[in-house]
Amino acid sequence: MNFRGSLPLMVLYVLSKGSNHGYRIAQHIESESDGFFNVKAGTLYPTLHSLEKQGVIDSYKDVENGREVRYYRLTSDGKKQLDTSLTEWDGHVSAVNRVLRSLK
Amino acid sequence: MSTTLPPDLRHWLEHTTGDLPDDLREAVCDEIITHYWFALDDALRAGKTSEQAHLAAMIALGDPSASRRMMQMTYRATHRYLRAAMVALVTPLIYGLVWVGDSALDGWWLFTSDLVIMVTLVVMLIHLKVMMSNLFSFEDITREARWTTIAYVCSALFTAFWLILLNRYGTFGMNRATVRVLWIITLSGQVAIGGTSIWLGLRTLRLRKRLSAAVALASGHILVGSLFIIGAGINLFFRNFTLYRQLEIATEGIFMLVFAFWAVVFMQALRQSKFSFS
Repeated sequence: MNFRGSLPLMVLYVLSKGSNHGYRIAQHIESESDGFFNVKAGTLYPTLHSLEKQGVIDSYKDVENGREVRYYRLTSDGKKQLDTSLTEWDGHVSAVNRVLRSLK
Repeated sequence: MSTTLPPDLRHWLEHTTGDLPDDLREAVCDEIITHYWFALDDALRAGKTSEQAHLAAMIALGDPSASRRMMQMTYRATHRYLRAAMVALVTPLIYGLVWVGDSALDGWWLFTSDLVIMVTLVVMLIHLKVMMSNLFSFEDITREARWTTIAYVCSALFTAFWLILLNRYGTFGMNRATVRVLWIITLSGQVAIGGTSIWLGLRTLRLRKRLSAAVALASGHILVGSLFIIGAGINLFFRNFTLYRQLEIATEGIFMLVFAFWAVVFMQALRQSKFSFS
Protein backbone atom coordinates (compact mmCIF):
# COMPACT_ATOMS: atom_id res chain seq x y z
CA MET A 1 0.00 0.00 0.00
CA ASN A 2 1.31 3.46 -0.87
CA PHE A 3 1.42 5.46 2.36
CA ARG A 4 4.04 8.03 1.42
CA GLY A 5 1.52 10.83 1.76
CA SER A 6 0.83 9.97 5.40
CA LEU A 7 4.45 9.19 6.34
CA PRO A 8 5.44 12.79 7.22
CA LEU A 9 2.42 13.03 9.52
CA MET A 10 3.32 9.74 11.25
CA VAL A 11 6.95 10.86 11.61
CA LEU A 12 5.87 14.16 13.18
CA TYR A 13 3.55 12.31 15.53
CA VAL A 14 6.29 9.88 16.66
CA LEU A 15 8.65 12.81 17.24
CA SER A 16 5.99 14.61 19.31
CA LYS A 17 6.56 11.82 21.88
CA GLY A 18 10.25 12.68 22.09
CA SER A 19 13.35 12.98 19.95
CA ASN A 20 14.49 9.82 18.19
CA HIS A 21 16.69 8.52 15.38
CA GLY A 22 15.57 7.13 12.04
CA TYR A 23 15.68 3.43 12.87
CA ARG A 24 13.63 3.83 16.06
CA ILE A 25 11.13 6.07 14.25
CA ALA A 26 10.62 3.31 11.66
CA GLN A 27 10.32 0.70 14.42
CA HIS A 28 7.80 2.80 16.29
CA ILE A 29 5.60 3.27 13.22
CA GLU A 30 5.75 -0.44 12.45
CA SER A 31 4.92 -1.58 15.99
CA GLU A 32 2.15 1.00 16.55
CA SER A 33 0.52 -0.01 13.27
CA ASP A 34 0.79 -3.72 14.21
CA GLY A 35 3.14 -4.27 11.31
CA PHE A 36 0.84 -2.67 8.72
CA PHE A 37 3.37 0.06 7.86
CA ASN A 38 6.86 -1.20 7.19
CA VAL A 39 8.89 1.97 6.67
CA LYS A 40 12.09 1.39 4.72
CA ALA A 41 15.26 3.43 5.15
CA GLY A 42 15.22 4.47 1.48
CA THR A 43 11.88 6.22 2.03
CA LEU A 44 12.34 7.37 5.61
CA TYR A 45 15.54 9.41 5.35
CA PRO A 46 14.51 11.53 2.35
CA THR A 47 11.26 12.23 4.25
CA LEU A 48 13.13 13.18 7.43
CA HIS A 49 15.50 15.44 5.48
CA SER A 50 12.60 17.12 3.68
CA LEU A 51 10.87 17.79 6.99
CA GLU A 52 14.10 19.19 8.38
CA LYS A 53 14.46 21.49 5.40
CA GLN A 54 10.91 22.71 5.94
CA GLY A 55 11.91 23.59 9.50
CA VAL A 56 9.33 21.37 11.18
CA ILE A 57 12.00 19.12 12.71
CA ASP A 58 15.67 19.64 13.48
CA SER A 59 18.50 17.25 14.23
CA TYR A 60 21.53 16.78 16.42
CA LYS A 61 24.16 14.08 16.74
CA ASP A 62 24.46 11.78 19.74
CA VAL A 63 25.95 8.38 20.54
CA GLU A 64 23.97 5.17 21.06
CA ASN A 65 25.58 1.75 21.54
CA GLY A 66 28.93 3.26 20.61
CA ARG A 67 27.59 4.56 17.27
CA GLU A 68 27.19 8.19 16.31
CA VAL A 69 23.53 8.69 15.45
CA ARG A 70 21.53 11.64 14.13
CA TYR A 71 18.53 12.31 16.36
CA TYR A 72 15.50 14.24 15.16
CA ARG A 73 13.17 16.37 17.23
CA LEU A 74 10.05 18.44 16.61
CA THR A 75 10.44 22.24 16.39
CA SER A 76 7.78 24.72 17.52
CA ASP A 77 6.73 25.10 13.86
CA GLY A 78 6.53 21.32 13.72
CA LYS A 79 4.18 21.20 16.71
CA LYS A 80 1.89 23.72 15.01
CA GLN A 81 2.01 21.79 11.75
CA LEU A 82 1.28 18.52 13.53
CA ASP A 83 -1.83 20.02 15.19
CA THR A 84 -3.08 21.38 11.85
CA SER A 85 -2.29 18.14 9.99
CA LEU A 86 -3.99 15.99 12.65
CA THR A 87 -7.15 18.09 12.44
CA GLU A 88 -7.10 17.87 8.64
CA TRP A 89 -6.43 14.13 8.78
CA ASP A 90 -9.33 13.51 11.21
CA GLY A 91 -11.64 15.56 8.97
CA HIS A 92 -10.47 13.67 5.89
CA VAL A 93 -10.86 10.21 7.46
CA SER A 94 -14.29 10.91 8.95
CA ALA A 95 -15.53 12.38 5.65
CA VAL A 96 -14.31 9.32 3.69
CA ASN A 97 -15.89 7.01 6.27
CA ARG A 98 -19.22 8.85 6.02
CA VAL A 99 -19.19 8.45 2.23
CA LEU A 100 -18.24 4.75 2.42
CA ARG A 101 -20.90 4.00 5.02
CA SER A 102 -23.53 5.83 3.01
CA LEU A 103 -22.79 3.47 0.09
CA LYS A 104 -23.41 0.31 2.16
CA MET B 1 31.99 5.19 2.93
CA SER B 2 33.61 2.55 5.14
CA THR B 3 35.52 -0.22 3.35
CA THR B 4 34.30 -2.85 5.85
CA LEU B 5 30.72 -2.77 4.59
CA PRO B 6 29.12 -5.94 3.23
CA PRO B 7 29.32 -5.93 -0.59
CA ASP B 8 25.53 -5.88 -1.14
CA LEU B 9 25.13 -2.94 1.29
CA ARG B 10 27.89 -1.10 -0.56
CA HIS B 11 26.16 -1.87 -3.85
CA TRP B 12 22.79 -0.69 -2.45
CA LEU B 13 24.34 2.61 -1.36
CA GLU B 14 26.13 3.12 -4.66
CA HIS B 15 22.95 2.44 -6.60
CA THR B 16 20.73 4.74 -4.55
CA THR B 17 23.07 7.63 -3.75
CA GLY B 18 25.63 7.32 -6.56
CA ASP B 19 24.86 10.62 -8.26
CA LEU B 20 24.27 12.82 -5.22
CA PRO B 21 26.81 15.55 -4.43
CA ASP B 22 29.65 14.17 -2.26
CA ASP B 23 28.80 15.93 1.03
CA LEU B 24 25.12 15.08 0.75
CA ARG B 25 25.91 11.51 -0.24
CA GLU B 26 28.16 11.02 2.74
CA ALA B 27 25.53 12.33 5.18
CA VAL B 28 22.76 10.18 3.68
CA CYS B 29 24.99 7.06 3.55
CA ASP B 30 26.07 7.51 7.18
CA GLU B 31 22.47 7.43 8.35
CA ILE B 32 21.54 4.47 6.19
CA ILE B 33 24.60 2.51 7.33
CA THR B 34 23.64 3.21 10.97
CA HIS B 35 20.11 2.08 10.13
CA TYR B 36 21.55 -1.15 8.73
CA TRP B 37 23.64 -1.81 11.88
CA PHE B 38 20.65 -1.22 14.18
CA ALA B 39 18.51 -3.56 12.10
CA LEU B 40 21.28 -6.16 12.12
CA ASP B 41 21.66 -5.92 15.93
CA ASP B 42 17.90 -6.30 16.44
CA ALA B 43 17.77 -9.34 14.16
CA LEU B 44 20.74 -10.98 15.91
CA ARG B 45 19.11 -10.30 19.30
CA ALA B 46 15.95 -11.94 17.98
CA GLY B 47 17.98 -15.15 17.50
CA LYS B 48 18.62 -15.04 13.76
CA THR B 49 21.84 -16.32 12.27
CA SER B 50 24.28 -13.74 10.96
CA GLU B 51 23.20 -14.45 7.37
CA GLN B 52 19.50 -14.16 8.20
CA ALA B 53 20.19 -10.99 10.21
CA HIS B 54 22.08 -9.46 7.31
CA LEU B 55 19.21 -10.30 4.97
CA ALA B 56 16.67 -8.77 7.39
CA ALA B 57 18.81 -5.62 7.69
CA MET B 58 19.04 -5.33 3.89
CA ILE B 59 15.24 -5.72 3.62
CA ALA B 60 14.90 -2.88 6.17
CA LEU B 61 16.67 -0.57 3.72
CA GLY B 62 14.03 -1.11 1.04
CA ASP B 63 13.96 -1.70 -2.69
CA PRO B 64 17.05 0.00 -4.21
CA SER B 65 15.26 1.28 -7.32
CA ALA B 66 12.35 2.79 -5.38
CA SER B 67 14.80 4.29 -2.88
CA ARG B 68 16.86 5.76 -5.71
CA ARG B 69 13.73 7.38 -7.20
CA MET B 70 12.78 8.82 -3.81
CA MET B 71 16.29 10.21 -3.31
CA GLN B 72 16.40 11.70 -6.79
CA MET B 73 13.07 13.40 -6.15
CA THR B 74 14.18 14.77 -2.80
CA TYR B 75 17.84 15.67 -3.23
CA ARG B 76 18.25 16.32 -6.94
CA ALA B 77 15.47 18.90 -7.22
CA THR B 78 18.02 21.72 -7.44
CA HIS B 79 19.34 20.37 -10.76
CA ARG B 80 15.85 20.26 -12.22
CA TYR B 81 15.12 23.83 -11.13
CA LEU B 82 18.42 25.08 -12.54
CA ARG B 83 17.68 23.34 -15.86
CA ALA B 84 14.16 24.82 -15.89
CA ALA B 85 15.52 28.30 -15.16
CA MET B 86 18.01 27.96 -18.02
CA VAL B 87 15.30 26.74 -20.41
CA ALA B 88 13.05 29.65 -19.36
CA LEU B 89 15.85 32.03 -20.35
CA VAL B 90 16.09 30.56 -23.88
CA THR B 91 13.07 32.53 -25.14
CA PRO B 92 14.29 35.98 -24.00
CA LEU B 93 17.73 35.10 -25.31
CA ILE B 94 16.41 34.21 -28.76
CA TYR B 95 14.25 37.34 -28.97
CA GLY B 96 17.21 39.40 -27.72
CA LEU B 97 19.50 37.98 -30.41
CA VAL B 98 16.94 38.72 -33.10
CA TRP B 99 16.54 42.29 -31.87
CA VAL B 100 20.29 42.85 -31.69
CA GLY B 101 20.78 41.29 -35.12
CA ASP B 102 17.82 43.29 -36.49
CA SER B 103 16.54 40.22 -38.30
CA ALA B 104 13.62 40.60 -40.62
CA LEU B 105 10.46 39.04 -39.23
CA ASP B 106 9.95 36.33 -41.79
CA GLY B 107 7.72 33.28 -41.64
CA TRP B 108 10.42 30.86 -40.52
CA TRP B 109 11.22 33.11 -37.59
CA LEU B 110 7.55 32.96 -36.55
CA PHE B 111 7.67 29.19 -36.82
CA THR B 112 10.91 28.96 -34.79
CA SER B 113 9.69 31.31 -32.08
CA ASP B 114 6.40 29.39 -31.73
CA LEU B 115 8.37 26.14 -31.39
CA VAL B 116 10.77 27.65 -28.84
CA ILE B 117 7.89 28.97 -26.74
CA MET B 118 6.14 25.62 -26.97
CA VAL B 119 9.24 23.68 -25.88
CA THR B 120 9.96 26.05 -23.00
CA LEU B 121 6.34 25.85 -21.87
CA VAL B 122 6.38 22.04 -21.95
CA VAL B 123 9.68 21.86 -20.05
CA MET B 124 8.40 24.32 -17.47
CA LEU B 125 5.15 22.42 -17.10
CA ILE B 126 7.05 19.20 -16.36
CA HIS B 127 9.12 20.99 -13.74
CA LEU B 128 6.09 22.64 -12.20
CA LYS B 129 4.63 19.19 -11.63
CA VAL B 130 7.77 18.24 -9.72
CA MET B 131 7.69 21.47 -7.76
CA MET B 132 4.04 20.89 -6.93
CA SER B 133 4.89 18.31 -4.29
CA ASN B 134 7.25 20.31 -2.14
CA LEU B 135 7.09 24.02 -2.89
CA PHE B 136 4.09 25.34 -4.77
CA SER B 137 0.83 23.82 -5.77
CA PHE B 138 0.62 24.35 -9.50
CA GLU B 139 -2.04 21.78 -10.15
CA ASP B 140 -4.47 24.66 -10.74
CA ILE B 141 -2.73 25.75 -13.93
CA THR B 142 -1.71 22.42 -15.46
CA ARG B 143 -4.79 22.27 -17.71
CA GLU B 144 -4.46 25.90 -18.86
CA ALA B 145 -0.73 25.51 -19.53
CA ARG B 146 -1.45 22.35 -21.53
CA TRP B 147 -4.00 24.12 -23.75
CA THR B 148 -1.71 27.12 -24.21
CA THR B 149 1.01 24.72 -25.35
CA ILE B 150 -1.39 22.98 -27.74
CA ALA B 151 -2.35 26.38 -29.19
CA TYR B 152 1.34 27.13 -29.83
CA VAL B 153 1.95 23.71 -31.35
CA CYS B 154 -1.01 24.05 -33.73
CA SER B 155 0.02 27.59 -34.64
CA ALA B 156 3.63 26.52 -35.28
CA LEU B 157 2.56 23.53 -37.38
CA PHE B 158 0.19 25.66 -39.40
CA THR B 159 2.87 28.33 -39.96
CA ALA B 160 5.21 25.59 -41.23
CA PHE B 161 2.49 24.22 -43.51
CA TRP B 162 1.76 27.68 -44.92
CA LEU B 163 5.45 28.43 -45.44
CA ILE B 164 5.92 25.18 -47.34
CA LEU B 165 2.93 26.05 -49.56
CA LEU B 166 4.26 29.56 -50.18
CA ASN B 167 7.73 28.30 -51.02
CA ARG B 168 6.33 25.76 -53.43
CA TYR B 169 3.57 27.66 -55.18
CA GLY B 170 3.94 31.35 -54.18
CA THR B 171 0.86 33.46 -53.42
CA PHE B 172 0.05 33.73 -57.14
CA GLY B 173 -0.32 29.99 -57.41
CA MET B 174 -3.20 29.97 -54.94
CA ASN B 175 -6.73 31.06 -55.59
CA ARG B 176 -8.33 33.72 -53.41
CA ALA B 177 -10.47 31.24 -51.54
CA THR B 178 -7.41 29.22 -50.48
CA VAL B 179 -5.57 32.35 -49.32
CA ARG B 180 -8.66 33.41 -47.39
CA VAL B 181 -8.95 30.03 -45.67
CA LEU B 182 -5.26 30.07 -44.72
CA TRP B 183 -5.61 33.62 -43.43
CA ILE B 184 -8.65 32.71 -41.32
CA ILE B 185 -6.77 29.73 -39.85
CA THR B 186 -3.86 32.05 -38.96
CA LEU B 187 -6.23 34.45 -37.21
CA SER B 188 -7.83 31.54 -35.36
CA GLY B 189 -4.37 30.45 -34.19
CA GLN B 190 -3.68 33.94 -32.89
CA VAL B 191 -7.01 34.05 -31.06
CA ALA B 192 -6.37 30.56 -29.62
CA ILE B 193 -2.91 31.55 -28.34
CA GLY B 194 -4.30 34.84 -27.01
CA GLY B 195 -7.28 33.19 -25.32
CA THR B 196 -5.30 30.39 -23.69
CA SER B 197 -2.58 32.83 -22.55
CA ILE B 198 -5.20 35.04 -20.88
CA TRP B 199 -6.79 31.95 -19.31
CA LEU B 200 -3.37 30.83 -18.01
CA GLY B 201 -2.72 34.32 -16.66
CA LEU B 202 -6.06 34.51 -14.85
CA ARG B 203 -5.52 31.12 -13.23
CA THR B 204 -1.94 32.02 -12.26
CA LEU B 205 -3.36 35.08 -10.50
CA ARG B 206 -5.18 32.72 -8.14
CA LEU B 207 -1.82 31.43 -6.88
CA ARG B 208 -0.75 34.82 -5.53
CA LYS B 209 -1.18 33.73 -1.90
CA ARG B 210 1.32 30.92 -2.41
CA LEU B 211 3.69 32.19 -5.06
CA SER B 212 5.21 35.64 -4.67
CA ALA B 213 5.86 36.01 -8.42
CA ALA B 214 2.31 34.98 -9.39
CA VAL B 215 0.99 38.53 -9.99
CA ALA B 216 3.89 39.43 -12.27
CA LEU B 217 3.58 36.16 -14.17
CA ALA B 218 -0.18 36.48 -14.47
CA SER B 219 0.01 40.09 -15.70
CA GLY B 220 2.57 39.05 -18.31
CA HIS B 221 0.46 36.20 -19.65
CA ILE B 222 -2.70 38.32 -19.70
CA LEU B 223 -0.88 41.13 -21.54
CA VAL B 224 0.65 38.74 -24.07
CA GLY B 225 -2.73 37.10 -24.64
CA SER B 226 -4.47 40.47 -25.07
CA LEU B 227 -1.86 41.63 -27.58
CA PHE B 228 -2.32 38.46 -29.62
CA ILE B 229 -6.05 39.05 -29.78
CA ILE B 230 -5.61 42.77 -30.58
CA GLY B 231 -3.16 41.69 -33.31
CA ALA B 232 -5.77 39.35 -34.75
CA GLY B 233 -8.29 42.25 -34.66
CA ILE B 234 -5.88 44.57 -36.52
CA ASN B 235 -5.30 41.85 -39.09
CA LEU B 236 -9.00 41.28 -39.51
CA PHE B 237 -10.35 44.84 -39.63
CA PHE B 238 -7.53 47.29 -40.44
CA ARG B 239 -4.87 45.35 -42.33
CA ASN B 240 -2.34 47.84 -40.92
CA PHE B 241 1.04 46.10 -41.12
CA THR B 242 3.04 48.87 -39.37
CA LEU B 243 0.70 48.87 -36.39
CA TYR B 244 0.69 45.07 -36.39
CA ARG B 245 4.50 44.99 -36.43
CA GLN B 246 4.70 47.42 -33.50
CA LEU B 247 2.28 45.23 -31.62
CA GLU B 248 4.37 42.18 -32.41
CA ILE B 249 7.51 43.87 -31.01
CA ALA B 250 5.57 44.75 -27.84
CA THR B 251 4.39 41.13 -27.56
CA GLU B 252 7.96 39.86 -27.90
CA GLY B 253 9.12 42.31 -25.21
CA ILE B 254 6.46 41.08 -22.80
CA PHE B 255 7.26 37.47 -23.67
CA MET B 256 10.87 38.16 -22.71
CA LEU B 257 9.72 39.49 -19.36
CA VAL B 258 7.30 36.60 -18.77
CA PHE B 259 9.93 33.96 -19.41
CA ALA B 260 12.51 35.88 -17.40
CA PHE B 261 10.01 35.81 -14.53
CA TRP B 262 9.60 32.06 -14.93
CA ALA B 263 13.38 31.80 -14.61
CA VAL B 264 13.21 33.86 -11.40
CA VAL B 265 10.53 31.52 -10.02
CA PHE B 266 12.69 28.48 -10.72
CA MET B 267 15.74 30.16 -9.19
CA GLN B 268 13.61 30.92 -6.12
CA ALA B 269 12.62 27.24 -5.99
CA LEU B 270 16.26 26.22 -6.44
CA ARG B 271 17.30 28.35 -3.47
CA GLN B 272 14.59 26.82 -1.29
CA SER B 273 15.32 23.24 -2.34
CA LYS B 274 19.01 23.18 -1.48
CA PHE B 275 19.97 20.60 1.14
CA SER B 276 22.64 21.09 3.75
CA PHE B 277 23.65 18.99 6.73
CA SER B 278 25.28 20.29 9.86
